[in-house]
Amino acid sequence: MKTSVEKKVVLGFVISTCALLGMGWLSYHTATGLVATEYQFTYAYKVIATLESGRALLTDAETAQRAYLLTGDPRFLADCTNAQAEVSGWIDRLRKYTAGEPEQQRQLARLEPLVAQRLALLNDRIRLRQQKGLEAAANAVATRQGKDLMDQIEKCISEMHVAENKVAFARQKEVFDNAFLTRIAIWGGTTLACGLGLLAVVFIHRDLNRRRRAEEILQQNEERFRLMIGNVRDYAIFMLDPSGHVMTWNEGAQRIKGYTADEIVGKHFSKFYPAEAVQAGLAEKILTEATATGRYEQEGWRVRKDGSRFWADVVITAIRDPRGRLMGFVKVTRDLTERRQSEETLRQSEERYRTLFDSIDEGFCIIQVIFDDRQKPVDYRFLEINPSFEKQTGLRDALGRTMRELAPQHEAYWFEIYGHIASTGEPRRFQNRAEQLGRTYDVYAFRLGAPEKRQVAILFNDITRSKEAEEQITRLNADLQRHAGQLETTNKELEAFSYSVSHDLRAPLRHIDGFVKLLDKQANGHLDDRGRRYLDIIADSAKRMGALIDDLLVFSRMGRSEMRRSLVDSRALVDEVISSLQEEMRDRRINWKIGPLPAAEADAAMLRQVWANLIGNAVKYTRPRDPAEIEIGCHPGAAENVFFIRDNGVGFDMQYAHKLFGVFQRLHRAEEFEGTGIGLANVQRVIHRHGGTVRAESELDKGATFYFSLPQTDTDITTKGNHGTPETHPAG
Amino acid sequence: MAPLKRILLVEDNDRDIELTLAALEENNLANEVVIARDGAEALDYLHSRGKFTGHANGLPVVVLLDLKMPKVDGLEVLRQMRDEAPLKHVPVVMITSSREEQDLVKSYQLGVNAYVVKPVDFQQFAKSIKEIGFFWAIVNEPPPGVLKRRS
Repeated sequence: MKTSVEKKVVLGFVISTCALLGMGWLSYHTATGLVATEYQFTYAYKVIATLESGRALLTDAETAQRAYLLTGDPRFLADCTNAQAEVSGWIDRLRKYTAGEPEQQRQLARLEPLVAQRLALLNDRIRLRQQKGLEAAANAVATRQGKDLMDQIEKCISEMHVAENKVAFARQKEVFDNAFLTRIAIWGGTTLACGLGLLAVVFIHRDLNRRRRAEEILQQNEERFRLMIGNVRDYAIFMLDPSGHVMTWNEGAQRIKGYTADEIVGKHFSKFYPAEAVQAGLAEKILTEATATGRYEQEGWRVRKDGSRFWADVVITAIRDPRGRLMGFVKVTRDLTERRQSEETLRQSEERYRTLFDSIDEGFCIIQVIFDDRQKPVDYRFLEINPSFEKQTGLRDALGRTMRELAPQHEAYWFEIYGHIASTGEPRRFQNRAEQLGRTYDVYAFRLGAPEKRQVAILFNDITRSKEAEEQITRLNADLQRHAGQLETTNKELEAFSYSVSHDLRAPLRHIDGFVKLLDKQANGHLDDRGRRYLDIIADSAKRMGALIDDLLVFSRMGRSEMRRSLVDSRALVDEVISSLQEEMRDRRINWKIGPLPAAEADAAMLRQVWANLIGNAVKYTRPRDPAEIEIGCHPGAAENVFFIRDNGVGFDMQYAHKLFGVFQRLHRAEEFEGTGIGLANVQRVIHRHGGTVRAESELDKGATFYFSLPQTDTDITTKGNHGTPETHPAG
Repeated sequence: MAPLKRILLVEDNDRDIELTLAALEENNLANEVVIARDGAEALDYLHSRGKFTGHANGLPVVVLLDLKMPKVDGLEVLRQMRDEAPLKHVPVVMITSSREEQDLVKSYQLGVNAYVVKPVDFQQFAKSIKEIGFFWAIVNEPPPGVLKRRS
């Protein structure tokens, strides 16, 4: 617009200048024309005057001739000769004056011979006068020949006069005409020039106003723009001069970078880059590239005033003036640290889920359920599958295909379930059989995304084997229960048997013994020694049988009865057992050596049985020793405590050690050492039930050591007592 | 009229009865023993019913009760006795071959006064019976309403 106005103004000036020039030229031309015309006009009169002067010259010449003729005075002859000479000049002048007038030239061409004839005639008369005298001359004159010539000359001159007059009039008219045109041209040109000048003034004024307004608006805009930029908080927006020094600064720049305008304006922008980037010449590189391409964008680490780093998105734009000269750069920086962190978090999370997706053993897929016209789910398409999918289904290249394509016989209930989930958004967990795949699945499925997408995510597991295993377990469990039932029955029978044994089997023995005693009493000395011995044997056998039954019952009870574990004070138990053996120890000398004994977590009654058996045995098998030595102690351990009891008794042969703990196994004859062969079997059974072991070491006649271990418990209570001090029990 | 018997022996086994009586003879208590051959008979006797209908037996100072018997066993006899007012306080001593814990527990739960396991050894057996007889029939002061010792 500005240029158009300028053009108009220039055009106006050109036009008005042209008008003025044209007018000048026209004036000049008209004036020149006027002068020329005037000159021609004057010239015409000069021609007329010359014509008339010719007539006078001819008359003078004739007059002088006549005078000569008459007088013969040579002075008249001289006058005539002079006049004739002037006549020839006159013809020449006339020819010259009328050079541009062909008509006059033609008249002149007619006139000239006439004049020449007249002059020749004059000179003939003069000669005649001179040679023949006055008479002859007068006769010649009387021939009127001169008069005719003269009339013709007069006529020609008059015609020329008239013609020249016409020319003069024409010239005069031309001058008038030109003068009129010139006036019009001058008036017109002046008016046009004034108009154009006025127009130019109007245009210029208008343009000036417009410019002033535009400038005001520009100024306002600039102010607004400056405020806007200055107050932007989320972006650092500032200008750099062409060498990279900061020229302006805004609020956002202060917030993001930490410098105030006073601190940074005039400094080089490489201050914002980490030291290593500065060393790598990044700042220069950026400016070079921005200069070359006009724009440079980069994400990277930048440094704040306090030295902390932030992740920035930087755009540098080169600013050029209209002539393309580099004025500087605009640098827009945004702090993307948070975004970068959240992106990083997102990326990690995505990676985690991708890893999960790719590495889980479970099959995972996303399907799109396909409904028919009546909104019945009839098929589904696999949109995404994980690597385990194939292993879990046996379906190859399932991606993008539908289930019906892959397994036409796939049961309808699968489609119904997924259709239901896609329609209602209710997640489902279920187990189902896919007969065509020959597998049973445990499935968790849920709707994914918007309902209209009809997408369902499915997490599934082939549980065919575990299902089979489960069934097998169920079968085995049923078997086990049956067996347990049988066992329980057996146990009950065994209990009934034990009960019956304890009650009924003992009764006949009692009777045998009872009636033997009654028989003895009744016989009252009638029996001889042998008879009495037989009665003793019978009674003893019955008693032995009774003892066997009792021990067997105890053994059976040890195996069956419920364990009631508690913390048992081993030392107290041992002391109690020893004191219960007073009867057996009567008349014996026994040196007891009892070491520290830790508490044991065990069934007190059962553990009592163990100690009773072991201590009883030690007492029994040291009977031949005087004094007997019995040592009781414990080797404590981290995992278990090993208790032991050592005696200096008869011992046993180690080759029979394996028989030691068997039921009814004895290494000594009953005559030597009484016993049922059940005791150690009981010990073993109890210790095994407590998770421990038993063993024995011995050498025949050199005593024996029995060890049993009990698993260590948390509590470690050492029985208080005479630690380590050998102690002698009163032997009865 | 036969003298009233102060000891009720409930025992199904003849031989045990004979041995028990033999033992009690040594205390001269054999004559004071009345014998029931099973639990039902014992209850009939105590309630004077059945074949004991019309007999004014009076309450014994002690009942020596075998545990395992045909028909009604010892525990059932004990349970019924403890449920009825006049019999509730009559001392009952279990005399049995069973050393089973469950029998012991049940007996004491039902309120037995003593529990004696019959030893196989007759001498011990005889000794136990003698001591029981001596204690309950002679030493012990029975609850009111029971037969007093003949003076």
